[in-house]
Amino acid sequence: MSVQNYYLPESLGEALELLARYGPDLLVIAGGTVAMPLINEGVSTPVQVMGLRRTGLDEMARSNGNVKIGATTTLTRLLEESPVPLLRTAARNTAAWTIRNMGTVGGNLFSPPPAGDVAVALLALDAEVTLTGSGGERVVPLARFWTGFMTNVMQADELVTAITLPVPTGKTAYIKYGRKQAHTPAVVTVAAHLVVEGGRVQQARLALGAVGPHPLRCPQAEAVLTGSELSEDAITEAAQTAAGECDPFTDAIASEWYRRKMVPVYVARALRQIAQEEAAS
Amino acid sequence: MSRGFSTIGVGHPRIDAIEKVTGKARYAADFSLPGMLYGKIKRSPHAHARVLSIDAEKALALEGVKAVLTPWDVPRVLHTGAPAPRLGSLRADQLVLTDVARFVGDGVAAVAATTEEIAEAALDLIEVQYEILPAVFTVEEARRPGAPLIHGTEGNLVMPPIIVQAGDVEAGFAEADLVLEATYHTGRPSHCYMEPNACLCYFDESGTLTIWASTQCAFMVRGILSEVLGLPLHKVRVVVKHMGGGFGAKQDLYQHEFVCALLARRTGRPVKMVYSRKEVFMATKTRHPVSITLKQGVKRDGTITARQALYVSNTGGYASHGPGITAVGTIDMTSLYRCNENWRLEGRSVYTNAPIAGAFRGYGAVQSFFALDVQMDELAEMVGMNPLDFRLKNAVGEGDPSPSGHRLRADALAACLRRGAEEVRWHERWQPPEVKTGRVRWGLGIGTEMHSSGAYPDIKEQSNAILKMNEDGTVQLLTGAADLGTGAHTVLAQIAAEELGMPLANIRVVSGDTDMVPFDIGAYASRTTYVAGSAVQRAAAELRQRLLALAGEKLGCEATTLEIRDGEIRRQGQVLLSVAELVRGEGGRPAVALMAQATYEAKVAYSFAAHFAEVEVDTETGMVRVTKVVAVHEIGKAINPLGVEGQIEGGIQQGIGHSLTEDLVLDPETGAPLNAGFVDYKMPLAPDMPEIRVIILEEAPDPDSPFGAKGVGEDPIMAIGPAIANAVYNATGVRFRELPITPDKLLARLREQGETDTA
Ligand SMILES: Cc1cc2nc3c(=O)[nH]c(=O)nc-3n(C[C@H](O)[C@H](O)[C@H](O)COP(=O)(O)OP(=O)(O)OC[C@H]3O[C@@H](n4cnc5c(N)ncnc54)[C@H](O)[C@@H]3O)c2cc1C
Repeated sequence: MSVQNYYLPESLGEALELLARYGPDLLVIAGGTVAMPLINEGVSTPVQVMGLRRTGLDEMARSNGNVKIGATTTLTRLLEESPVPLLRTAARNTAAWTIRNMGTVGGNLFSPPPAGDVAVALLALDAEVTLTGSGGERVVPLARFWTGFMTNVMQADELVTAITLPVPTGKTAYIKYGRKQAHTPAVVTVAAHLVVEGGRVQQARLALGAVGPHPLRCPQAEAVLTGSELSEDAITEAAQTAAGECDPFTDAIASEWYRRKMVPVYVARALRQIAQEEAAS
Repeated sequence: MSRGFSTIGVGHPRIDAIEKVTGKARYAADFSLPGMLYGKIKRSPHAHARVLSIDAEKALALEGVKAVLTPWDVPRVLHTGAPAPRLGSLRADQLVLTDVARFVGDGVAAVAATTEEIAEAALDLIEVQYEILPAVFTVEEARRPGAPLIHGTEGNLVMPPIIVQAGDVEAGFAEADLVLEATYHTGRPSHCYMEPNACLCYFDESGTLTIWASTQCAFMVRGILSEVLGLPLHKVRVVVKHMGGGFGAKQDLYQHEFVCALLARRTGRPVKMVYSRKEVFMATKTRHPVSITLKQGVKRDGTITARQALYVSNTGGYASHGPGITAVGTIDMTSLYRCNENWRLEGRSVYTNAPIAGAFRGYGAVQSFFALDVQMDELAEMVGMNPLDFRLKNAVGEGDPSPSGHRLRADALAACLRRGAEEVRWHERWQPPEVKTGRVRWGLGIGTEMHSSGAYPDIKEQSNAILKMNEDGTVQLLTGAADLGTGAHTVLAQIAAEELGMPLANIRVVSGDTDMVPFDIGAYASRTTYVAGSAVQRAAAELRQRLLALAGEKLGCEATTLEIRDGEIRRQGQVLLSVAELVRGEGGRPAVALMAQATYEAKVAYSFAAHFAEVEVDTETGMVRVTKVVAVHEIGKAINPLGVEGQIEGGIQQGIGHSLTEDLVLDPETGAPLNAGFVDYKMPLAPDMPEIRVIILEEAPDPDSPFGAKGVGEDPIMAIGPAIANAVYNATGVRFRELPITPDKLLARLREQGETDTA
């Protein structure tokens, strides 16, 4: 146990000041559901820790066709209050109530795979991340936020303050496949968002979790879908294409081989859900 | 037994349910004493390493640290991890703190400090120099010539092989029309009890050690602590309040119990130790992974002619129950299904540098019956018989030998099979795998088991009970039997109430303090109702006789004409006097002290079960979902049917986990567990559970047991595994000779079988 100081700043300004003062020596935590187990196990040994829970970054607001979610919004609030059904579904599939009551949307972007079940949904919805630092604010598309396993474009003096996304038009689907019905790490998580007009896919977003160093988009599979009639053939081709775009790993839950096999199965299932909804509407 | 029962045979909620669900019940870790210190163990990160030196200077310099112990500061007494059963086959191979680490997590030093945080920080400051030794994690590696010798025994064998033979196996195989030989493997599930291992130790002014512990065997803990610490038995007091599970793992002692007492002795202060969940996973026990090579011959008419098996268990870094489970697992293959009394069975237990495997619900037989019952399915198919009919033809019954050597008294297994088959409409609904099509395929499978109540003749079973009558008609029942969460104490109270003719509410169970209660060997081997229950029944019968004698005197009539019911003395149905009136003091004189004690040394009885599991397999993903289980159990007499159902449902849930999702996965390079926590060690939860229909049969009550009751604690986990594996085969045609059946493996096997990828 190395933690010597725990800071609970009352505002974003105060938090940024502390960050500027200590830089990388200050560990930021939001809900702490990822960070605290590592500290308790002695894997992570920070000396200074700052909690974000009092910084007021937990606003969730809708304006001009956008939804803005404060970084420290809890997963429970996302589940109960998000105007976007896909995000409610994603939150419901993330951990259990005890963890959701603490864990935050911002923290989910930093959770090592196979975690990141909310981030996958955000990725399929073209979310953008607001990063705030001593030099002010900048906005980065979520698709460009991660650079590798547990690495991202955030600077040492920055915090994630909000995640913003356009209210989705079109149809969405979300499937988390685990070894059990609930409370389970993912073998693969699939989030899809398609805009279909006149029988053709106008815009396709397909994101995968638990099969790469961070949640992934599948641009080639999206290209297969775009312009298609979402026929069974197109779905199969997109699913196979997605399998080639992932970069899975082996853990105690599933092997790399198995995860790669499950990508096309669950991509197809998610896309079929949308195709069936389209056919019904 | 014709008279109607008043307390037994009726479902009673546990007598401690309210305390527990309101969070008021206290467990070992809930106890604290003034001036208490916190102890922690420094664990080896290496699976096999010699400790060259330990530098504790920096740790001792840390403010708040009161003591550090190294392997050279503690009694160097080799002891068994498993104090019970005290068999010759046990190996004393453990030290309080070891100077040779034999698995990742073996304890090499310990610290006591004023707070848990300081104790943890001090662990990091203890500097240990290791010489890393080559390590082996599987039996194959450990048995290879030139493999490192973990305890210096030849070929890393824990004990000489156990050989059990009868008849003439070769002649039996020669007589057979078909012979099948195959190897079956079981996994490494963890016990996952809710209450982590914990204890609080303190030496009083007289030098007596009191330890609040979480153990299934308080008297065994007392015995082994006395041996290792060099204290006479009357100076060791073990107190167990409530327990949050054990499933066999808490039959053993762990390093913390010894270390905690030694830290308390060294510092002169009370010391508490509580394992983290990670410590529970890596440094307590798992089930033994076992490989069983099983060969059986069968005639075309379905008669099994001979059985040969080699049972090899991986016991990890220390023997623990390796010898015991191997003996039971080997001997149990003499029964369940007949084989013309021709068998040759061999059992071996092998040291490796894997986490220690120990006693676990089903004790070695889970693995055997998995092999046996899966092979029953395979043989049925070979001879072209329906798997149900093939089992009925060979099921052991009246007059057949049991593993203990006694002849069985009834056709209980066949009764379970018939009742279950009727419930699932077997002949209507079962179809061979060839006809199954579609993405999601349904399957039905059978698993069976038998289990002894108690461990006689391997262990000299003994339980005692004392009943003390109070002057208001209430009774204290003193028992040494632990209730590790099974509801055992409720059952003991019911037995006492029934035998005495008193209401259940008048009985209070006093247990778990070795200074107060009479000796009991412990809670294991599904023995508590059977053995401890008998002691209680006998003590209660004696107390009843004394009450009746007293009543006869008082009423001036023959005691034999009287009976006690509902706490009242009656003659021919007429109430004469209440027990409270009978026993209270009179005219300023205290009441007559009424007490009864009984010792019971049990033999053995067998319970049987057949489970019928229904599964749905998604052939696109290899995912198995158990949708329904019909569990038929023959247990002689259900004292508390509610408790029996709870045991069966819980066993099925645990067994589904062991069959499908639970496995402690080791890093093949380092031997460290990869999923030592509930985030990725996955037990089934409510949404994963199937519909369960429990059917209790009372066909074969045991003549020596309380009201005919036999054990049920371990039984349910033994039949469910083969039932699921056989149902998966029935759904898909993929034969699993191993557990767990993961979707990974099932999908690969489906692909081998020619099912193609679909998306
Ligand atoms: C039992 C259990 C089950 C779980 N199950 C799931 C699951 O099913 N699916 C899933 O996706 N996840 C799961 N998780 C992981 C985790 O709970 C969630 O991902 C949660 O969203 C993390 O949020 P947090 O606020 O608690 O993160 P924290 O632990 O507070 O944060 C982790 C790290 O992220 C960084 N960080 C967090 N917020 C910010 C910010 N605003 N700005 C800059 N940096 C920040 C910090 O470096 C911090 O150390 C589980 C965790 C547990 C313990």
